[in-house]
Amino acid sequence: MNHWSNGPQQNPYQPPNPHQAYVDPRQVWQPRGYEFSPSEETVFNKAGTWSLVLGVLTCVRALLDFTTVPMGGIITIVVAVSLIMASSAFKKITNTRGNDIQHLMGALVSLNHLFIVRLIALVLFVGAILFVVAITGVAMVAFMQAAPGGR
Amino acid sequence: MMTGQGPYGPPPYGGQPWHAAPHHYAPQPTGYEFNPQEEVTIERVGKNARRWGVASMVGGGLSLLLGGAVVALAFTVHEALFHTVGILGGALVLIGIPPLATGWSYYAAGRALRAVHTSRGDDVSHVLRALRGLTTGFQIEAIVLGLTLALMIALKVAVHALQSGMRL
Repeated sequence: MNHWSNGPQQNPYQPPNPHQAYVDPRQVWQPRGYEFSPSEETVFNKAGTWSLVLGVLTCVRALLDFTTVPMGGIITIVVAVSLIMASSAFKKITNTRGNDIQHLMGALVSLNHLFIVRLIALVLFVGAILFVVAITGVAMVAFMQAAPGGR
Repeated sequence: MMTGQGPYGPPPYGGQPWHAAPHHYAPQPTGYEFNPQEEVTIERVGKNARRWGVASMVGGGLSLLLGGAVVALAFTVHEALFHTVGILGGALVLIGIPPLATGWSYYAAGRALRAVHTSRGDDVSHVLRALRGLTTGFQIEAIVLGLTLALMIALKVAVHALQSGMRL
């Protein structure tokens, strides 16, 4: 089979369609498909490996947390999933070609989720501690006032 | 026209290759600039990384201060309690060190990500610097978490073994 048998070929040098608006390719050029160099990919690979290690260990911790504090276990699972998703996106940067920036953005979004969940958990934790301290303080004051000889 | 084939003819022999775009249009291997939408995402991650870094450093610093205070207290309490209070203080100091280190790493990573938004011409190197910081944070967290989990599992096994021995 030769190349003539593939049906009518379009002449690559034919004039453009006069009805089609001319678009200057220099104006539509987008820096898509940016590829990181091998030395840069090493950094992404390392980040992916360590976020995967941390994600797996966090999963194990989540399983242990579920037995004691179910709420903590849920938060830890979300953190672990974010880390594993970030790791997957980092690995795609090194293992695939043509969409490095898109994969990088995916990894950064996952890391953003990780930080947001951790910050919310911290606020809830500090809030819970303050609530317990406040309740204990109120209870102690009420107990001292109710006790005989209290002021 | 050099070739006499019109503007839509094949490229002429010799001279500049047709695909050699002018310098300022050609994609550069370095010096990639993220578009505004990407910069917003990067800036958001940077902001949250800095927040988490500061929170970690505050937590670690408080634990370190409390541990130091407890260790100092150990020298004033009765001799029988010295070891118990001293160990408690030492543990608090040890617990405070990793969050300080990871907090600093995340904060530095957040600053590098902010630099992507605020500067021009070196976006990729800023992102790589941020990723190195994040990786350091992940490494410290993974090592500490691995040791903690190993300790927890060893304790559970020990407790289980003790309980089994007592039953026998």
